[in-house]
Amino acid sequence: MVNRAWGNYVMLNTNRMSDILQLDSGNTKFKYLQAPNDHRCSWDTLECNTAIGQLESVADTEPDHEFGVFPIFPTLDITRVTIDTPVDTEIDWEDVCMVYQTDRDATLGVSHMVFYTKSWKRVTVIINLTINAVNELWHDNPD
Amino acid sequence: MFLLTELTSWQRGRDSGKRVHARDIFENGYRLFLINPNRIVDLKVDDDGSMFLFSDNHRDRRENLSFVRSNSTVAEVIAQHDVAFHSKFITLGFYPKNNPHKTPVDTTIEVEDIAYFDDYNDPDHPNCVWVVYCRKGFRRVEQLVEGTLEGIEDRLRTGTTSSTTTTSDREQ
Repeated sequence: MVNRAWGNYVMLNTNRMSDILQLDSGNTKFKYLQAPNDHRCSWDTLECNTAIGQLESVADTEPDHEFGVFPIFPTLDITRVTIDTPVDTEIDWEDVCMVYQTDRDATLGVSHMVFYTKSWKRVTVIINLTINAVNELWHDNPD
Repeated sequence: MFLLTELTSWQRGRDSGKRVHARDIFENGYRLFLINPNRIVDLKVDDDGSMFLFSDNHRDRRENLSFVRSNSTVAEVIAQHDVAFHSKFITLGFYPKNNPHKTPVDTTIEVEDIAYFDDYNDPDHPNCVWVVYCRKGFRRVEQLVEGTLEGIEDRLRTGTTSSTTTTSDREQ
């Protein structure tokens, strides 16, 4: 994901983190299990420059709603985002695995989102939101 | 919140072994555990206490359930389950290679991933306990950590340790 995501920014879900360590460099290292309910899914090892205290603080912050509204494009085809109409879809924040933007996504103002239909299936979609907009959606969910 | 409870029987489902040994029953009549109520299924009244099924890894459909008898009543288990945690995460001092002679490394894990805490059976190291937790659905981990059952319960509830009770202070 590093050098693939725009600015190396990836929005992660704290409910998928385990074994979080503070490194001497000040960075944080942890295991990230993309499918926490699937025994076949092993962990990725990630390092980021977000402090452990900040991760804990985010984990302890409850969103206003359990569901977020994501405008999802019908196809996973980046060339169609200027043609197709996104469909507003409610997704449980707990099921969201990650959100990131490629350089092209950033230019078009869209993002890639990976979420799970509970334990069943991993789904990758393009949403009509920037990564900052998703962050604001989580912090300030519309009533 | 976790439940600090006296267990009189714990018949493991994963390998048919026992976590409350004959020596615990002979010396105390029970063994003390700090367990996560989110793993409990089929909670029932059992004389003055309770009995229930317990899953070490509730995310893994292959995980068999253990049968447990406790001195805590059903009402006590329910009441404890309703108490909120201080935080979704807890930082524990992990002993590298489960060696209590090494320097513990602070490691943060999600409270929901922890199945239970159990005493370390070594009177020379009263400030050690085993934590059994799961790296989500993938793997069950047994890790030796710094602390006591009472101290860790305090930290889970308040974020700090107010109790300084050690294993040797308890009747054993």
